[in-house]
Amino acid sequence: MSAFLVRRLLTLAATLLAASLVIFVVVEVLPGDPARTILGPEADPEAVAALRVRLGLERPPAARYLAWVGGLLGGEFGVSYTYHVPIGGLLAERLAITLPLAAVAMALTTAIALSAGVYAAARRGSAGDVAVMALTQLGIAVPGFWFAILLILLFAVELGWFPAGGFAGWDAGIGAALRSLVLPAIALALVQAAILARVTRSAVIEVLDEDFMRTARAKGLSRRAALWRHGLRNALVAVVTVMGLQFANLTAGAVVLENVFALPGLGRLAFQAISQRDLQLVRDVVLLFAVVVVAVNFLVDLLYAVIDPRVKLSA
Amino acid sequence: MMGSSRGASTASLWVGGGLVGVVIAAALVSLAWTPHPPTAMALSERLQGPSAVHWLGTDHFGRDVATLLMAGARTSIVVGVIAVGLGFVIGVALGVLAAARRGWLDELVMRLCDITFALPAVLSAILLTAWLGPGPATAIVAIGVFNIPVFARIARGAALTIWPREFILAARVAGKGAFRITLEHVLPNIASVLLVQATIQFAIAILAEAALSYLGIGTQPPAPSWGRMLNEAQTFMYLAPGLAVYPGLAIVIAVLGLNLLGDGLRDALDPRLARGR
Amino acid sequence: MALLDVADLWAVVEAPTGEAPAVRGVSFALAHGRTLGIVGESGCGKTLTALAIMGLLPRGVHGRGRIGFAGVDLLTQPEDTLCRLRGQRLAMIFQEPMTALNPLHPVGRQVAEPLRIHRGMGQAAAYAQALRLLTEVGLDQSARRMSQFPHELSGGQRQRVMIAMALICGPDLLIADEPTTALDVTVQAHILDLVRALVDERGMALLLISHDLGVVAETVAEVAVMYRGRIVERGPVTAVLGQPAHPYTQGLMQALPRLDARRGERHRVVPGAVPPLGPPEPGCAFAARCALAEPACRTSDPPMAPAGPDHTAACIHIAAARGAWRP
Ligand SMILES: Nc1ncnc2c1ncn2[C@@H]1O[C@H](COP(=O)(O)OP(=O)(O)OP(=O)(O)O)[C@@H](O)[C@H]1O
Ligand code: SF4
Ligand SMILES: [Mg+2]
Repeated sequence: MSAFLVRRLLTLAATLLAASLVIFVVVEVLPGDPARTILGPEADPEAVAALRVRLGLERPPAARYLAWVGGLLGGEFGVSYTYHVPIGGLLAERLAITLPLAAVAMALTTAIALSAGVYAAARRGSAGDVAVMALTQLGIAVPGFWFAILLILLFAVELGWFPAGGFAGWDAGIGAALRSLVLPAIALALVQAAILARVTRSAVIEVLDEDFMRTARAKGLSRRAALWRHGLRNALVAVVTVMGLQFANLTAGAVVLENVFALPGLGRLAFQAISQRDLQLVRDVVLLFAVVVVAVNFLVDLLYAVIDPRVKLSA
Repeated sequence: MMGSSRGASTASLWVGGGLVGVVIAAALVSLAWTPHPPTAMALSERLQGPSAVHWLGTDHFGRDVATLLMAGARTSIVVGVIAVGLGFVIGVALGVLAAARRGWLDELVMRLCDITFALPAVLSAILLTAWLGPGPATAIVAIGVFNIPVFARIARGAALTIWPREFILAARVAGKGAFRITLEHVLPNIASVLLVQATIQFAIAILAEAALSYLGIGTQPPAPSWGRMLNEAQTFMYLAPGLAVYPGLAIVIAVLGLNLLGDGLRDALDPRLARGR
Repeated sequence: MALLDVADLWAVVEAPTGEAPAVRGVSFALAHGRTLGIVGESGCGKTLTALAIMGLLPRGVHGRGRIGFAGVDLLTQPEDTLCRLRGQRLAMIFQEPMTALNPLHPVGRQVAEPLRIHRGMGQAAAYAQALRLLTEVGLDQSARRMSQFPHELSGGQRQRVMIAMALICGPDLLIADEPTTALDVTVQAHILDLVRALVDERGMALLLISHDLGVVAETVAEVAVMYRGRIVERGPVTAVLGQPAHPYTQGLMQALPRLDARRGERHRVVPGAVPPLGPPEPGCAFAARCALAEPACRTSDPPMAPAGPDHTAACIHIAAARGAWRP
C-alpha cells in the first residue's frame, strides 16, 4: 500500500510540474505587459521600464519560472496587478465559493446518477429503463448554462424562491449563502448526472452478468439483495473512475456557471484575470484549477484502492 | 431483449438523422432565404412576441428570432466542422503514429494527452482568447485543440487492436512499411470507430461553441450565434422570457440529434461496440 | 420417493428469430444419497438443466415441465420459496472458481454468508463454522486465508472455497457443474476425491455435470448421456460406459482423450459438430451425424428402450448399434 501511495504521489507531482510548465509558457507568450497593466496606458515609458525591473520581468524566463514555483512552494503567491491584494487571500476567498459549489454539485450528481442508473439497470428493458435512458440522453444534450437560465426564469423570476444571481456571502449566514448556491449546483449537476447515470447503468448491467452474481443467487440471496450486497460495490469501481474524470468537467462548468449567476468564485476570477491581463493572477488561478483536478484524481485512485483489493497488487 | 435493443438503435439512427437533417437544412436554406434579413433591425419592433410576421418574435434590436436561429445554425455547423476536423486530422495522425511506432513516441503522445486533460477546457479557451482575441477563430482553435487528445487516444486504442491481426502480419511479411500498412489496413479498419466518435465530438463542439459565445469569447456580433443570443436574452429575461428559450432548444435539437446519430451509427456499424456504453 | 424428480423438462431460449429449445423433454430422478452424472458435448444443455433446477435460468431462457424436489414442483414455486431452498437445501458449484467468487469480498465472508442468510447467525459464529469447514475441505492455512481475497488464492484453493460455500448449510442436493474443468489434472483429482468423500460422508445427492467421461466414471454411480437437449442413454455407469447402447455414447467413448493428449485440448472426435440451436425437428436428433441412420430415424423420435438392467437408450435399433460398433 505504501509503495502504491508513493508511486501515485510521484505521478501527481510530475503532472503538476508539467502543468506548471505549460501554464508558464502559455502565459509567457500572451501579449500584454504587467507593468503597463499596473501603471495604465498613459504611463511614462521610463516608469514602465523601471517597474519591469522591479517586478523582475527583465530576468531570463528560467529564473522567473523558478522564482514563481519557488514562491508557490513557500506559500508566497504574489500580489495581483489589478486587485492590488495578495493573491493567496484572493484565491482562498474565491475557493470558499467554488469548492462548496462543486462539492454540492458532485453530491447531487452522485445521488441522482446512482439511483437512476441502478434503477434502470435492475429493470433492464422495462418502460422505466427506457424512460431513464431517454431522460439522460436529453440531459446530455442540454447546455448547462441554458438550463441555468431556465432555472433562473422559473425559480427566481417566476417563483422568487432563490436569488437570480450573486452570492450572499458566508457572513450572511450558512442558509443564505447556500441558497445562492442551490440553482448553480443543480445546473452544474444536470449534465454530469445524465452522463454518470448512463455509466452506472452499464456498469451495473455488466456486473449483473458476472458469474459471482449467479453464485450469490445460488446461495439464496434474492435478486435485490444480491445486487446490493455483491453487485453495487463491483459496479462502483467503474463509476468512481468516471466520477474522477467528471470532476474536471465540473470545474470547467463552474467557470461558465459562475458567470451566469454572477458568483464571485474561482472561475469568474480566472475569467476576469484573463480579460484584464492580470498575468500573475492568471498563472496562479489556472494552476490552482489544475491542482484541484489532479488532487481529485489522486483521491479517486485512493478510493479505487479502498474499493478493490486487487488494485494494490497491480499498481 | 436483443430484438428491442436493435429496434432502439434503428430508432436512434432515424430520429438522430432527422434532427440533424433539420438543423443542416435550416443552415443551408438560410444561405438563400430567411424570413427576414438577418441583420435587419427595427427598434420600433423590439422584444415582440410570436406573430404571423415574426414567427418566434423579435429580439432587443427588433431582429427576427427565427431568422437568427436559422443563421445561427450555420455558425454552429461551420465552427463545429472545422474544429472537429482539425482535432480529427491531427489527433488521428498522432494516434496511429503512436500505435505504429510504440516506444517513447507512444509514451510522449499519451502523456501530452494526459496534461491536456488536466486543464479545464474552458479555461484554456479563455487563455487562448487573451492571446488571439475573441472571435470564431479562437473558438475553433480552442475546441479543435481539445479534440486532438480525444481522437489521439481513440485512434491509438483502436489501432493497437488492429496491429496484432493476421492480415497485418501478412502485409509486413510482404515487406510493406508501417506507413503503408497504417494507410492501407489500419485506417480503413478503425474508420467506423472514428466516425462514431467524430459525430459525438461534433455534438460536444456545438455545446462548447455555444458556451464560449455565451461568455463573449466565441462568435462576435453581429454574426448570429445561439450562445450569443442566450447571453443577450438573459439581460431581457424579465421582459421577454421566450428569447431565452428558443436558442437553447435549437442547441438541444442539434446536440441530441448528433448524439442519437452517433449511438445509432455505432450499433449499425459494429454491433460489438454497442455493449458497455 | 425420489429427492429430485425431473419430468419432461424444457428450457427454451428466446431468440430474435423465435424460440429455440435448448433442453427438450429431459426426465430423470435422483434419490437421497445417490449420485448421477450428466455427460455430453459442449452446448448440449447440461448447464441449462442444472440452472433450471436451481431456478437460475439466465435472462431470455424459460423452463417448462416439472422439477419435483422433496415433493414440490420448483418451477411453480414463488421466488422467495426458491431463495429459501437455494444455498440451504439445494447448492451448486460452478465451473470457473476465478469468476464465481466475488473479487471484492474476503473468502471467509463469502463462505459464511449462507449461514447468515438462512440461519440468521451472527458474524462470529458463522465465521467460526466457515473456518471449520474450510479446514475440512483441505484449504491449507485456512485461518489466515479467511481474510484473503480470491485473487490471492490458486484455482484449486478457490474451488475448495466454492465447495465449502456450497456445503455450509448442509444441502440435500449438490449440483456440481464441471467443477474441475478449469483446474490442473493433479488438482482435479484432489477436488474429485474431496467431493466424493464429502458426498459419501454427508449422504447428499450429487448431480455431477461433465463432458469428461473419465471424471464421471470415477465419481458417480449412474450416468445420463445428453445430446442436443435430450437424454439419449441412461443407466449405471458400468453399463453405460462399459456397453454403450447408443451410437452417440459409443462415439463419445471412442473420443476419450488419450493419456498423452495435451491438457485443455477440446477433443471433438465424434464426427461432425453439434448443430446450432434451432426450432425442433422430428426424428432422432443424432441422425445427421449417425453412421447407422436410416429413413425411419428421421420420421419419429426414437423412444427410450431397455438396453440392459436399469439401462435404457433412445435408438431404434440398440442391438444393431452395438453390433456395428463392437470391434
Ligand atoms: N443465456 C443464454 N442465452 C441464450 N442461449 C443460451 C444461453 N445459455 C445457453 N444457451 C444455449 O443453450 C445451449 C445449451 O447451453 P448449456 O450451457 O446448457 O450447454 P452445456 O452442455 O453446459 O455446454 P458446455 O459444456 O459448453 O458448458 C447452447 O446452445 C447455448 O448456446
Ligand atoms: S435412432 Fe437412428 S439416427 Fe438415431 S442414433 Fe439410433 S440409429 Fe442413429
Ligand atoms: Mg456448461
